[in-house]
Amino acid sequence: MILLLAIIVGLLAGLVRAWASGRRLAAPDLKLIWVVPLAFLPQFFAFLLPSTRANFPDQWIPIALIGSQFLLVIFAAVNLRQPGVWLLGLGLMLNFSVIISNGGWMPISPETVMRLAPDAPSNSWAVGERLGVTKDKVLLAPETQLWTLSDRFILPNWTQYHLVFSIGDVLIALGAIWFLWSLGGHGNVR
Amino acid sequence: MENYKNEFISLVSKVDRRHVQIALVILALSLFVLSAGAPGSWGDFSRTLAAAR
Repeated sequence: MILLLAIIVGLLAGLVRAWASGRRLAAPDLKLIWVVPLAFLPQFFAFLLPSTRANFPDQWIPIALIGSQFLLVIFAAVNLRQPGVWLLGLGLMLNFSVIISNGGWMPISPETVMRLAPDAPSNSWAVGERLGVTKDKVLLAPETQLWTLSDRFILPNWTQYHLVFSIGDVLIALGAIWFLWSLGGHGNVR
Repeated sequence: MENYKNEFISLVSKVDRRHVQIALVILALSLFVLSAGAPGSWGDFSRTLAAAR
């Protein structure tokens, strides 16, 4: 959910840019926009909706995740000419690559889990198992494919948010901000 | 009933098409970042643990 902060920041930046340049926010014509909600649906049921995510079978997660992200790759590819979409697409591809390479799961190392939740009871997670109801599976670093692209970064303690993220997540956030910023520079003059 | 219908059509016709398009783009982008990123891993593992207790 914290990735939505990038949307808010980007939108504010785009509005300020449009206001400062005397333009209206542009309305870009994205191709195949309907693919995005279609791609979101399986993840909504698997990871977000409390009543379904707890009962979503683990063996279906890779299918839901890979299928969903494949649709997003198509969407990014057909809209590559839009500003910032190449960065969004690159972030998506990095996450998609590490997820595919690890059987349809985003890997997280035991060390990262311990840094993320140091107070978690030892029996609350296990190597080789899904971490709670997240997209992550706990895997030992040496056994992880493309480890550098996995969820291995944690926000500093002063932020009060115990969140773990990947390089791909950072690029996706930056791409979203760039795209929304660009809307403030291409609209009609007021 | 007909009055309500006409009022609704009149209201909808006043909505700026550009604004609707921008709203759709922002909605699509929000769903994109939630799905392309890893909201599960960004998600709060501690909250999951609390719910399990």
